[in-house]
Amino acid sequence: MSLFSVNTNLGAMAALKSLEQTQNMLTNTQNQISTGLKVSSAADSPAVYAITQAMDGQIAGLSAVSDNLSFAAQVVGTASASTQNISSTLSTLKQTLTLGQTQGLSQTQMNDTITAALQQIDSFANSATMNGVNLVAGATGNGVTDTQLNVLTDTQGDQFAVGGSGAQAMNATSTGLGLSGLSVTSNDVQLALGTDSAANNGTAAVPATLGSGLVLVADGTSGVAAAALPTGQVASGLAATAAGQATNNTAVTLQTTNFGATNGTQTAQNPGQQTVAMLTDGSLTATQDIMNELNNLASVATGGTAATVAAAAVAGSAAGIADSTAGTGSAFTINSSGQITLVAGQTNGSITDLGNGSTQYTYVLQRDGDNNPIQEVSVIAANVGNTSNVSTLQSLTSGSTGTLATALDGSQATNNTAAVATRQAAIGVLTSALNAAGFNASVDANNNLTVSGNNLDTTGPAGATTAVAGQATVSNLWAGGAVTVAGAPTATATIIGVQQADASAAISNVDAAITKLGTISSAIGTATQHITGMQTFTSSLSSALTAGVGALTDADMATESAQLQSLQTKQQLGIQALSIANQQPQVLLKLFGG
Amino acid sequence: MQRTASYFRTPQIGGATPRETEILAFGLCNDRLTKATTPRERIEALGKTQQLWSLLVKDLASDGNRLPEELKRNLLGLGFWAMGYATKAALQNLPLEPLVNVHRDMIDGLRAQARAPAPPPAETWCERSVTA
Repeated sequence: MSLFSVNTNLGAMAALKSLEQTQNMLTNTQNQISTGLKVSSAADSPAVYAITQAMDGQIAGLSAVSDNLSFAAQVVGTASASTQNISSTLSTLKQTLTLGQTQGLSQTQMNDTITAALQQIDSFANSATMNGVNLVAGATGNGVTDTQLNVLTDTQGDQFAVGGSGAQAMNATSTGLGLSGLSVTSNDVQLALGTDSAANNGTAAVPATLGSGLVLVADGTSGVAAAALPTGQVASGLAATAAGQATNNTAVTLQTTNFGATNGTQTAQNPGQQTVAMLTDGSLTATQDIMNELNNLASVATGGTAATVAAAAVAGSAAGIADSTAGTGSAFTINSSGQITLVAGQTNGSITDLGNGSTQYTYVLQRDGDNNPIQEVSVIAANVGNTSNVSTLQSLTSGSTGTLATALDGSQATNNTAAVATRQAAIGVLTSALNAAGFNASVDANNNLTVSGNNLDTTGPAGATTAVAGQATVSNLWAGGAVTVAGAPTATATIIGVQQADASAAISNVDAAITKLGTISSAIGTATQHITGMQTFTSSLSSALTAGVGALTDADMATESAQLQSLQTKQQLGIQALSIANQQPQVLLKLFGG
Repeated sequence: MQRTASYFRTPQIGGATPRETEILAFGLCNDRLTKATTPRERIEALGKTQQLWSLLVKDLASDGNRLPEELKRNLLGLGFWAMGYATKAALQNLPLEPLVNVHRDMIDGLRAQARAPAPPPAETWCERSVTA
């Protein structure tokens, strides 16, 4: 049995409440105290002296608070020392595995190293028990009565909980760190997220409506979700992606180019590029928009042929880009539906496939003697959405007709970019969440989400692919482990269990454990700060309480001051006949087993 | 306090005087502080230090303690400092020498008592205690 109650802070709390009144009294004398005023006797400062006299009865209470904090400090300090040891064990393990990979250590050798390291980690975690409390053991039993510690944080009785039980436990054992069953042949799990680009509108292969997010189930048998992701964040991110999708999304850019006027040379000079701002203005039709902009650009380019373009544009419902040299009609026509047609026989007009779903319609405004273009104006239609639209545009040839149709909706084009960005952000959140939950998750250049660690069961057939349309979950991909996509996914996710030929999955697993341990260490660090803060607070109270005769009312007595006071006390003690605890000194020895 | 009358007459546990008991306690505590090599031993030694001073402070603060006011307050101040230092040292890597030094001072002070002239007869103290 320990001397103090583990989590019953009631006594200390009561003492603190009483001390709070003392603190109020202290406020009045704060100036004297902060200036280091020496209070030698009642005559020097009657007020302070009176207060300190009144505080006598509270010393025992303050002492109880100190006991409480000391208890917490011992528990937290022990846990901290333990996690530091576990941390070095993990670092060494990772180093060994990495070296073993390059130096060709046998699987047996490496697995032996892993087994030894895991045993060491468990030993460190289980030996962190102090007075029955073990913050990092993860479970009670074996001398552990508690895995949580409550630390008083203020006089109001607010408590700060360190550790916890069950899912909240700061479990730093090998199992808690997700290392159980670790071997050099451990697997990763890969989830193909598909490649995001403006062209595929950020939908890729993953269900656009993941709903409550992606949940990786570590234990297929019990169905316990090992990673409770911040589904709200993930869901909202992916939902925004879905909202950003559009069936026909085309961004249109108008461009004018001036070439050098010298014959035989085609050097692009001052290529002016202008994205049509009107695209975001739904009040104008796409055709009007394009024609107006062409008119402006042509006007700038030729300094005089704008009227020709404009005249062609208003000639009828089939507006077009006129052949200004020949003056014989349009090279292109664009009708009110956004349909572009390259007029046959108009040599000044051309269509170029720019790749990535973008098509450039160019009309040469002016040529030199060698028939090289001096000035041209062009429409670049970049289809960023519907793939069938892309192919239609790309298949346009001279004299044929392609459809921009509803593509000229600027708001959709804007959403496209936003949708991709949002989905990427959502994937980022998902990855962070997985890492925070104890997995090691990363997304590679091919947008494959690779997950390992946290006891994830990765055994099973590789390359499992399941269509999940209309299903609430993707489960039973393989016996034992499962990747569950909650919500109502509408597309296909490809999930692959990947067995690495080397120890890389094992190393990722250790990385995940290191991250998880980092979270535990961080919680311990926070607890340390709380306890230190409370200790400083009680130190200032105790200094005030004991600031009577001959003592400096130092807010928090420095070590040097303590050593001086110790010497002075030694002298005083030497000429005394009484011992310090002159009522029942024998209890002191019981502390040391006497 | 009722206990006072029998206090000086009854032999202490192991036959030691209160002074010797305290010297022994401080010595045992320093032994732990100086010999601690593992983090656990260190933290346990600091825990013992805090508990030792907590017991001393509680006795000092109670009505029955008959040390002079000034010495009592100095000891209380030292005690609270030691308790706080021990708590912080369990969480941070503070040197333990300051605690060991204070304990050594206490041992020296108590030992000096042994060489000082004998205290007044117990009866005198008892009378005072009773009349107080």
